[in-house]
Amino acid sequence: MTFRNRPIKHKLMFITMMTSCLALLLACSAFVIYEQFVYREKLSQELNSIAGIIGDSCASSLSFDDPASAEKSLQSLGHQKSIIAAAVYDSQGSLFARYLRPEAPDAFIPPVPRQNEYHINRNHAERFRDIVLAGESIGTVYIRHDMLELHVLQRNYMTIAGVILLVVSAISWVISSRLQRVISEPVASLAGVVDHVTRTKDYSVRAAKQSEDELGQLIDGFNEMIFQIQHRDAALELARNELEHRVEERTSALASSLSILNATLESTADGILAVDFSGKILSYNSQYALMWRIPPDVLDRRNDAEVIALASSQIKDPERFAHRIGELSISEGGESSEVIEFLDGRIFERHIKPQRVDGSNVGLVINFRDVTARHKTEAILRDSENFLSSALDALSAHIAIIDERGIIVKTNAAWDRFARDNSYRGNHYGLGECYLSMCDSPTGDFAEEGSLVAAGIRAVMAGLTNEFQKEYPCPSPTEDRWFVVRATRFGGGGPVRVVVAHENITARMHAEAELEKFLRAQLENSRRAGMAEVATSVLHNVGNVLNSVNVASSMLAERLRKSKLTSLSKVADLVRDHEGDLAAFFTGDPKGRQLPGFLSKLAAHLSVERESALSELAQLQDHIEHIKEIVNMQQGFAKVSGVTEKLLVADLVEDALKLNSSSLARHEIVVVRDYQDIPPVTLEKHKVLQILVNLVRNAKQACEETHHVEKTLTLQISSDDGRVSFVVSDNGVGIAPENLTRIFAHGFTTKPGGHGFGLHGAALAAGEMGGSLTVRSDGSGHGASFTLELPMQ
Amino acid sequence: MGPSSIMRLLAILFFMAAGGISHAAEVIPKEYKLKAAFLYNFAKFVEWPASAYSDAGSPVVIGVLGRNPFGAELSNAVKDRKINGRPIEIKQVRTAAEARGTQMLFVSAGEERNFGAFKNSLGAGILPVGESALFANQGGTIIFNLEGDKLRFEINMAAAQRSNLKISAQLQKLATTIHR
Repeated sequence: MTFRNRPIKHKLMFITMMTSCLALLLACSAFVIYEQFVYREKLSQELNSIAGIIGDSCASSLSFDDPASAEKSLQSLGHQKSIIAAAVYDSQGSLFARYLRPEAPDAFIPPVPRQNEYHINRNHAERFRDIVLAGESIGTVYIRHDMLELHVLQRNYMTIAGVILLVVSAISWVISSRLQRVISEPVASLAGVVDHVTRTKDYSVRAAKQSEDELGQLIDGFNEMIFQIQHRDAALELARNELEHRVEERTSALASSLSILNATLESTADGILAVDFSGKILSYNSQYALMWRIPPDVLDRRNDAEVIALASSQIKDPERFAHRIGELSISEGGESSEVIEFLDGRIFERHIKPQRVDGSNVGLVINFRDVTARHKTEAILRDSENFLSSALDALSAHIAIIDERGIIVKTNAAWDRFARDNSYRGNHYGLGECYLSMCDSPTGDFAEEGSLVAAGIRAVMAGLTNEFQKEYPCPSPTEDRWFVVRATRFGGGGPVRVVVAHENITARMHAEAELEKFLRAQLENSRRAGMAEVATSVLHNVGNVLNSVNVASSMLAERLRKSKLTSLSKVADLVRDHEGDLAAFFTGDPKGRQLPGFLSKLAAHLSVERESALSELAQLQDHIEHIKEIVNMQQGFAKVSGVTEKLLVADLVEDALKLNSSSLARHEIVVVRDYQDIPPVTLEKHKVLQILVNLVRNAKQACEETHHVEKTLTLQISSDDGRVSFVVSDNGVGIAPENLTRIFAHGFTTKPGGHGFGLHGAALAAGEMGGSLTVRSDGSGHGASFTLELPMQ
Repeated sequence: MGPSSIMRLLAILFFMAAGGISHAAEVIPKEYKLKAAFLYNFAKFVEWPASAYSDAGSPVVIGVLGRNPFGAELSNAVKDRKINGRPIEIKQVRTAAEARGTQMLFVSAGEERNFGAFKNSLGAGILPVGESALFANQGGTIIFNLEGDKLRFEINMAAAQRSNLKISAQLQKLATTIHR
């Protein structure tokens, strides 16, 4: 990774470290250079002073030509390790004395002195100095100094500088690594946020600001920018969603209309073909292929020539067809229709319409409609119109058909004939005239009838009545004529048409008069027959009650026969036998002692017997009373309505049971009572009782005929909505379904000795009271249920 | 033989002729040439009391007692030289009075008697230099001696102190013997 691409953190640290190290390096270099300079200066001075000292100490040696002492003086330089060589020259420039450091291999002494010179180079420094004694130059000193010391010094400096550099680097690394965070951390955090935003496109995150410096401003700016992006993003998203939504809507609308179009194209009974102006097939629906009997593969190939050939082969006039196809290519625009007849008898209607895109014609849409059926229907319609006319003409009635305004649109031959015969003065026997105006303004004796007829026809036109009918006399000068006018509306949803038919009913009127006479006679006969029916009913009822009377009286007779009265006569005989000694008999004789107890028992028994007899007698009286009532009722039948009285319906039902109680007990039929508490109701007591008795007896007989162990007769009383209902049901033999419908018919019976009047009479009676009698049974062996429903007056 | 060889030959011949001439005039041993130089140099290493000079410009006077063994050597040696700004004068000394006018007095061998005669009247400020053991015994201050062909000297520091002279350590260092 190049430095340019390193993280800012590293760059900052690197810059900091580089700066401090560079500064240090510069400082060290300056220091070293300065030290070197100073060293050289010092060295120069030192060498000068050493040369001076040596010169001074050698001055006498020179003066007195004593090289040994001079060399001795020079030997004193031995403690100066850096001085590798020294020499003294006399005033003539000859070498007088010299010194060489023992271990110095490169020691060199110039043969001839130079005047007060100082040389320094990398490896050594040289100094020449005159020896002046008492103002007179008497010789020269030479000193050669090596640079080892400087080198060592410099090495040490380098080492120290290196160590300091290292230490400073370490310290500056530590410090910069801490201080750089002030800059790098906000930047890194910002970079992290930018990275996050780049990766996730989540513009809701914000960079945290840590300071108010340029970085803070940068982060503020970034946040502001990202905020705007987020907003713009949201707006964009919204717009995009809206657009998507709209595109979706449009697409679905398009798809929907396309599918509607396709469905329409496919569902239409017409064959549709779209071609361009060269006659090339662009599109078609399946109906087209079916109608023209063109195999789908031919159409799929868009083989126009083949399609035309196939089409031409089927029609009656292929030449004209080919000609028309030729015309298609030149007729750009105009609409046209024509009829094509097929060899097999089919007839197509062809409609051509231009196909427009943005106002310009791009092709033709050809619509084929199979009108064979229509043509046939039209033919049939024509036929039936003819037939209708003939039929109308065949009728004897004078018939006119008028429209919604009353204008006569059609008349039949009879109408025309009548008009002619009756000297009608208008044209075409009234055809085209307003019939209603004719009716509204008649003349003569029948003006009132005319306006009535007009009103009636108007009512029929308005749909207030389905039919208007009126008979009216229309006497001709020669005879007493009657007509009936009948106005009826045509059915269906077409235009209003009313048929007005006048029929001569003179003959019928005469016949009706005859019939009336006959009917009156018949009516009398009927009434007699009705009386007979009533009488039978009364006898039947009386018979029923008499049966009960018979049973009750025979039971009473039986009971009297078995009475304990004989025991009483035996006691009387016993008492009579002991007439003389009654006291002894009652006290001494064992029989006499038992006698009082026996008597009291007997008395009790007889009292029970009497109660029972009285009860039977009361029942007997009831039955007789019933008979009396029935007889009264029969007498009352002559009158229109029966006697009504307010009574408790429960008592009535109980009476009906009582009338049958003997046989119910005999046949061990359990009676179940389910009475709703109903306030007294005003009813014709005897008619109701008669019906109930009849129903209970029928139920009882149904139970008798069955072999059920548990024979049950259920009686229910309930009231609802002003009507009281009596339900008599049993679990007896039931009624076969086929008999259910005729069970109330006169003379219908299933019983061997029945006369078929009971239920018929009951139903009639219920009807007379404004009520009804209905039956319900689940079939043979499943019992039956009769419901008598009466209005509560 | 090139021109340069001829020139060298000519030069040798010339010097041989010149040497022959001077030797013929006066033969001065090398020893005295050295002693003449030494005398001059001693003046450099000895500090006279202020009373020894009449003024700052007065010369350093080197007297030669009696016989002059240097010939013209000594005069040549000091000719145009100065010591600490003072010119140098060579004087032939016979009497004590003459001796008292000098700063340094050379007593050659054979003149010890003369020197002994007035040495006690010399006073301070005069440096006597001799060349014999006798002179040394007379209390001479610097005495030449020869070690082989090397000229050396002894210093009598007690005599120097008596004469109120300061002899530099440099000079003392070169002395073969120092008497105290």
